Amino acid sequence: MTSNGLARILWAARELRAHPGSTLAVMAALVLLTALLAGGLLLSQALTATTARLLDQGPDLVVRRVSPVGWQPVQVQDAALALAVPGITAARLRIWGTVKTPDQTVTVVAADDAAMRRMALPQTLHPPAPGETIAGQGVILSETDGRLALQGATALMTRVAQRFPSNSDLATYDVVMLHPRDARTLLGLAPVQASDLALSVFHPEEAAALMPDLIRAFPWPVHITTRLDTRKAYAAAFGRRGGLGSLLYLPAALALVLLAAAVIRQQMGDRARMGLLKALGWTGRDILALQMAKALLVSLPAVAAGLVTAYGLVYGPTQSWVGRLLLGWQTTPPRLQLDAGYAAPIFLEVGGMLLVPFLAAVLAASLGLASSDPQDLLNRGG
Amino acid sequence: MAADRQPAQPSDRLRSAGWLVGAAVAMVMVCLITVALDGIRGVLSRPEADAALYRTIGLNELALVPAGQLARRTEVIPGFTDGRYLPTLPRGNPGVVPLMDADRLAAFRKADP
Repeated sequence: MTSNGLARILWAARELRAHPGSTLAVMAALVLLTALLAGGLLLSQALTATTARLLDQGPDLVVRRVSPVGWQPVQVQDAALALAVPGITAARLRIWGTVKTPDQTVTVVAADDAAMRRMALPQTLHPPAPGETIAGQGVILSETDGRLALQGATALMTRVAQRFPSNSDLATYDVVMLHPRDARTLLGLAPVQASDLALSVFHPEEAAALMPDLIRAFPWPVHITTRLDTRKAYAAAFGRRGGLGSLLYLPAALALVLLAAAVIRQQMGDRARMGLLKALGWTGRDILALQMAKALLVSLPAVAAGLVTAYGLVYGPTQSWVGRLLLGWQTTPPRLQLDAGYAAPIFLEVGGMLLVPFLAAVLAASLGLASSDPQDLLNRGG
Repeated sequence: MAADRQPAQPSDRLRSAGWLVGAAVAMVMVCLITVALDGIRGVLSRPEADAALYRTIGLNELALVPAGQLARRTEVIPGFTDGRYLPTLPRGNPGVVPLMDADRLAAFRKADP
């Protein structure tokens, strides 16, 4: 940058310091506006990507037996019926359900020894023995003895032998893993029964095409959920919340218009000074550059601060507001390990959305000032 | 000595304006560094721990909302329900395909004008 350019920027900063109140007010408004818009977009994008990545690790199809009175357990031998359908590569009997503890509702799932052996789990995690559990970080234990009382079809008192690691909160935060025998007892299932069937298919993208065959394979009515259905349900939930959030765009746009109007009004108030500068030999180009430098000195750091604030709100240690305000957690919410790598496009989008109209408004007003006659400016600026 | 000190002049603002410009540049730099770090995190981080556990547990729900809430209940996700034997649908679904068959449709109309 030339010394002339630097001097112009310094002069612009000096002029801003002449109006510290209005400068700070405009900056604060821009920071808030940017943080609001970028935070919403960043959170939505990160949540969608993270949940999609995790759900892709889940079953391709889930088959539940249904009847007029609702869900019915399946029998252990029903897995063979699913495996007889061409295209189904694995059928896993799931024993799981939702039960109460004295403090909260938790999801109970039976340990699958084979699955635990297959996966590269942390060395410290072992299948729970009867009477023991592996509990997520969000499961609240009794303060007196650290045991966990579960109330399902029957009551069960268990000892928490292990905890799921905190970096898997999104999958395990309020999940309690039990020995299959304990899980069946708690959920009221007979020893040969399971909650439902989780199926893997050879071509996941063709999972939906197997549904008619699966329906024919079982001698009772079934409810089948594909992974795509689950992903759509999550996306719809985020969409609903995002839709509510997008209502903020209207007041945000209005706020932006008011901000630009305030800056333009301030510039118009400086007409006498601009006239004086022109009378002293400043060219129209100098005036234009000064006004744009002032606008950039206000808007660029303010938008940058808003973007950094948004990033901190979504990925930083204060992230718990998401769980409390948006996801309905009354207890301590899980630490969401959201996938990163989405900041650049969102920052560009939000930065452009705010900076371009703001700078355009300032430019339009400054062009009028720059092209005016000095005498006229001095007279009208009074 | 204090009397020797000059009172603050308007031109002093030019000196402190340097700090303002420096702060503005620093803020923009922090933003650029945040974007760079986020990009690096996105490329290098391999969040496999949660995925492995999720696969092991075998559920098709996430702990985004508390257990028991409607948004967590995957069984209420609209999937495909086979209603062949449900008493709410006691008769076979007549379907539309036979009616689209022109001959059968004509026969149907003839039988029941």
